[in-house]
Amino acid sequence: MSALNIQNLSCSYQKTAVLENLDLSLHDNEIVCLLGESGCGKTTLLRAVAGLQTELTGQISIRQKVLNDPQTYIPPELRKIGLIFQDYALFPHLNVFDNVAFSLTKMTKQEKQQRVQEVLALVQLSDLSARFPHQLSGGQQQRIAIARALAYQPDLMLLDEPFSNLDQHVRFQLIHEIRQLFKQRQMSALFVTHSKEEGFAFADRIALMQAGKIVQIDTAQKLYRKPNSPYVANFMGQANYIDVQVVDKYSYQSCFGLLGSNSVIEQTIGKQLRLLLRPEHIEITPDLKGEALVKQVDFQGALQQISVQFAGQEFTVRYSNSSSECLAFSVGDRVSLTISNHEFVTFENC
Amino acid sequence: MSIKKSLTVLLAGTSALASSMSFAAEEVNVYSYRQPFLIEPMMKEFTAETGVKVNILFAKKGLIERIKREGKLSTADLMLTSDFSRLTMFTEEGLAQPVDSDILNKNIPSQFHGAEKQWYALTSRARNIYSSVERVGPAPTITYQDLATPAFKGKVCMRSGKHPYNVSLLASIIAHEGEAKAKTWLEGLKANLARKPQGNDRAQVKAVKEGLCDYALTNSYYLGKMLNDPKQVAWAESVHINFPNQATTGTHVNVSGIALTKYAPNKNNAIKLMEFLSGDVAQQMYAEINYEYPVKEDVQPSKLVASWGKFKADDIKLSDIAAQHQAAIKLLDEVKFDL
Amino acid sequence: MISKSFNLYKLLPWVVTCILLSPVLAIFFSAFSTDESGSFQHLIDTVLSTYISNSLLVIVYVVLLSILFALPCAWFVACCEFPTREKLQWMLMLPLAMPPYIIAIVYTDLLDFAGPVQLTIRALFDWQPSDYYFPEVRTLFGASVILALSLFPYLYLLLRGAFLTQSAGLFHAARTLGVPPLRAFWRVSIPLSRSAMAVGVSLIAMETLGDFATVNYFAVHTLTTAIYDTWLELGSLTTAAKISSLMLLAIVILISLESYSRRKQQVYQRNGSGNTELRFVLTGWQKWGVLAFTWSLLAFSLFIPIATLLYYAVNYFNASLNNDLMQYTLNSLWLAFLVAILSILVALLVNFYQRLSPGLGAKSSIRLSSLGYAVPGTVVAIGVLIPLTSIDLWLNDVLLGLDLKPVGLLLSGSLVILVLGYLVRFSAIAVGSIDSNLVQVSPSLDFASRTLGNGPVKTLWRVNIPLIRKGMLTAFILVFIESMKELPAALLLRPFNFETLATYVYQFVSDEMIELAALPALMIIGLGLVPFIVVNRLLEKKT
Repeated sequence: MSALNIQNLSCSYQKTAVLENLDLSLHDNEIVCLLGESGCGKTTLLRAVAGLQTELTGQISIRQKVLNDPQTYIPPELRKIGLIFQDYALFPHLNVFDNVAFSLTKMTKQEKQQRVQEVLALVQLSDLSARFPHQLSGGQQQRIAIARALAYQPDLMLLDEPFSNLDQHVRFQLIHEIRQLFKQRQMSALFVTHSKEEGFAFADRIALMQAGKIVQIDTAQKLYRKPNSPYVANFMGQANYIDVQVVDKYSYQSCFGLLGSNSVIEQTIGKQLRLLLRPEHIEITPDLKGEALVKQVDFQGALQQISVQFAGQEFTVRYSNSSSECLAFSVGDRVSLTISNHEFVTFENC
Repeated sequence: MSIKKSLTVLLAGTSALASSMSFAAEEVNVYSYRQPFLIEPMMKEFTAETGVKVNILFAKKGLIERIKREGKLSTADLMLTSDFSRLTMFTEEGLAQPVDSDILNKNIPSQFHGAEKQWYALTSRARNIYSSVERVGPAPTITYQDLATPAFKGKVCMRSGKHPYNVSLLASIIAHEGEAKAKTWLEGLKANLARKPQGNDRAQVKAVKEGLCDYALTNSYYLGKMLNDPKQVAWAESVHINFPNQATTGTHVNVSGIALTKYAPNKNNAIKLMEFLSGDVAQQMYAEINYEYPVKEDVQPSKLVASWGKFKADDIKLSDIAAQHQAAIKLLDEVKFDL
Repeated sequence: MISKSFNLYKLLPWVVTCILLSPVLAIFFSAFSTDESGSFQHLIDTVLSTYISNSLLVIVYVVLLSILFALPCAWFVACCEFPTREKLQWMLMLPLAMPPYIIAIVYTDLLDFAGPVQLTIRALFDWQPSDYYFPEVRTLFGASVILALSLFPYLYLLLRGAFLTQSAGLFHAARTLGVPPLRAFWRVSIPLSRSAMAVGVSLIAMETLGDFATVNYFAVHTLTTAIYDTWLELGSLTTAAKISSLMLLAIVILISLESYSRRKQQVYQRNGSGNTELRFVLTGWQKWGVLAFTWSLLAFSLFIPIATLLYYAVNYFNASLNNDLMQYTLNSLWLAFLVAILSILVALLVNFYQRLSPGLGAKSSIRLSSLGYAVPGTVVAIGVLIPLTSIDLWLNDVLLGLDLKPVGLLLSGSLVILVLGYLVRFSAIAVGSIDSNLVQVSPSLDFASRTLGNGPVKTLWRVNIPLIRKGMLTAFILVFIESMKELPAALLLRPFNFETLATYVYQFVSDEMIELAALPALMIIGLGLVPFIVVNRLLEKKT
């Protein structure tokens, strides 16, 4: 059973498409991150699932229950979802207890008390129930917001940039805490952010969005290692590209000479392609006769990030300071570059 | 749910409001352009005599429009006005119905009837020129035309030219002398004003008392009212009342009047009230309380009013003046009289 | 499951908007279906240009004077500390309870050539009229001053609110950047309060444009005069409607321009802590200057008129005492109460329609439902008569056709028409004041409530209404007071035997009998002040 299933969802605003034929599905107890630049449609998608975005085509269902299709529109209050906001959206006229108990209208006083205490304990703020929102710190407000959503016992949690108003150190602590909480409560969640670090830390899978479409969805590792387009590759991290030509089923010709592949190359012989090289795939060694020239060195503690001129192209490479030689590069040094053995990723030339 | 509730409340409110209009068995409904306090004494007397309750709705503007809109459902029986231009407008809109009553015919002389007996005048009032006791003295030979001559420069006070009393005076001058001459007169009058037209008739008398101007164009009954008010008597005593144009056309006279509405639901009571207002008791009250001239010939004006002497009234037909009403308003705009 | 096609929340606001708009539409419709009598041309040839320039001048003067009165007051009270500040902050709203036609009659009585002030001057120096200069009261500027004296509290109210909720941080940021307080006020506080300023100014401009009684009293002739002349004297509805549409067009253009220029400024204010703890303490000449300014403003707008009325009320007490005064008071009170409540309902409806489905449609429903405010009362009154009498006539025909007892003027002969007339005039105030409150409530709060299992109506009830309670109370007071003062629509639309204090006062005011008008006028003012003070105390306690 899937926690969320979206089929062929489209949405346009003032005649420009915000979402286009989008498909997405969440497994039970899974946290998926919608990652993308601002304006890519990720918040619209979240609001569509929440029922706050009308004028949609396509189908949305949670646990096989259809929420949106051409005949149906379930209003947000009947969807059983929890929504967490960037600005926390705590009701300023209610104290913490009443905020958390907001959805518990049909309970007796005692049940309410019990539920509120339970969820406040989960977010470790049991003693703040009499406070008003403006008396809380940002991190506390967001925990309360999460407690409020949990008290409602939603089928699915939606989080809209929930951590971006928080300080760096509070942020990752809260991310891990909430992730643990969700896993422990077996909560499925869809999480919107523009920060891939948050996505890496919080989500099981990441759906990268571009211009109203999900361009790739997979685990963070896979997205980094096996991106299906230069866009994904660039979004996930530093990328270098070189032109290569397929020589045979096992090798490419390139400016680094012949490159042997670990797997069978399923391309026609002689085809021109672009090969993705992450900085960690290029090894740098000092070499007085080397053809490569150091242009810039960026010392980052555990490693040095170095820009190198080679074969009329600039490469970004990394040198780990933990290696035994502990070299220090400086601008103008002659070096040589070699490609380390790894799973090659190539893209069609365009 | 709560929208439904509020709708219910709204509907309940509406019906409560609608039901708040309850009508006594015997009554008559009057739309009045005259202030209630001026006519209430007569109405009270009528109720005391006949047991018929009089309901008055007073407004200065728009009553004719309202009656027109209400059409055949209108609950108004009578339209009471303070000048005849409204009376004629009312009848011309086809909103009145003729009344043929022996009592009215007997009480009200025929020059105070509408052409087809669709309205009757109840009182008349002269448009006087008051002169300063201190600086001018009595001016028995004065004319309206004099006010526009250079000798009166800076000496005249009056209220807005658009006020019905002034409009009808101007209309009468148009009727007598034609539009071109009336325009010259109006321009001359404007040039002679001590200040831009403003205030009501009483304010003009005050201005004479305070020396701002020497002459004021004012209705007759205000003087009576002011003489009767201990706090205003000093103003009134500072002016002489003069009846203009005695040697020529006679003093311009306006009337207050009444008309029976086309769809009057209480027609009998309405006619009863009209007859009562034309009768001795009411006519006497008009004379004594409001210092107006009764239209019933054998009812005497109040002693005070009588002491101002008899005067020659302009005998031009009221309908001839009414015909010039629009022309008068346009003329006032043309010479920018009030601006 | 709820189907997509039916949506009550979209339908109802439009029904209400149509009802409120129907009088204005009715006038135009009937106007353009009648014949032209050439009086528009006549107006153009003669006085129209003067009327237009008078109207514009009055509006400009009133707006400028109101800003001159309200802006310093609002800032002093919100951001400075000086003796009597706490009293002033609510007392400065009280002039709203003064009907401008009453202030007008008081000041013309006092300052007229034959009034006590000039009499005293002449007696004191033994002067003749030509010996001294005294500014003429009954002038365009005089009328503007009077209107501004009774209208400035609108602006004061909005500006004070804006200054109080503005984050003090921004103001202090400006000061740390080397800008002195007064300049910071000019460069930060005023631009930030632009939307409050815009709302206040447009309310005042509309009220001024719709005013007839006051300017007429001052012998100033404006477009409203032209409407009355052409319609009620020359009988040309067409011309009157043409002038009305000109006026409305001007209003619509102004409002749209303003909101267009502000379209990028929509910000959801976060809990602005305000400047309360960081007020400037005024001393020396600054303190005395502020005290003189604020208290003399109150003297002219409140104390002097009330004292004058008291003088007359005492002197003519027996003459003006009327057994029915109690009944008129009750009539005024419950009518004002009912209209205030209904206008808040209207305002909630159209505002929440916009909140639930933002877009051009909802925006226009807000604009359209507010149009009646700028239309002179008598025009609204006749405009309301047209649809309601038509419904009545139709209803009676139907009943007769069904052999049922006809009901007569069910709507137009009852208080229904009066209430509707008031609503057409005053909904704009409630819509405006609730709108300005609602935009400060972050939409996330609505979403949070919706996703926590509350429908739109429940969300409205549990989240939005508690958060805009202050705006609703303000709306209530303002509409209540306006209804207490309302005159032309009340005069023309009321049923038989129904007097309000205002219509009762008018029969004396219309004959400049201030002595008899004084007592009931004081009652209007007094009754307007009471809820004001009570509600205001409540609000002050809460915050």
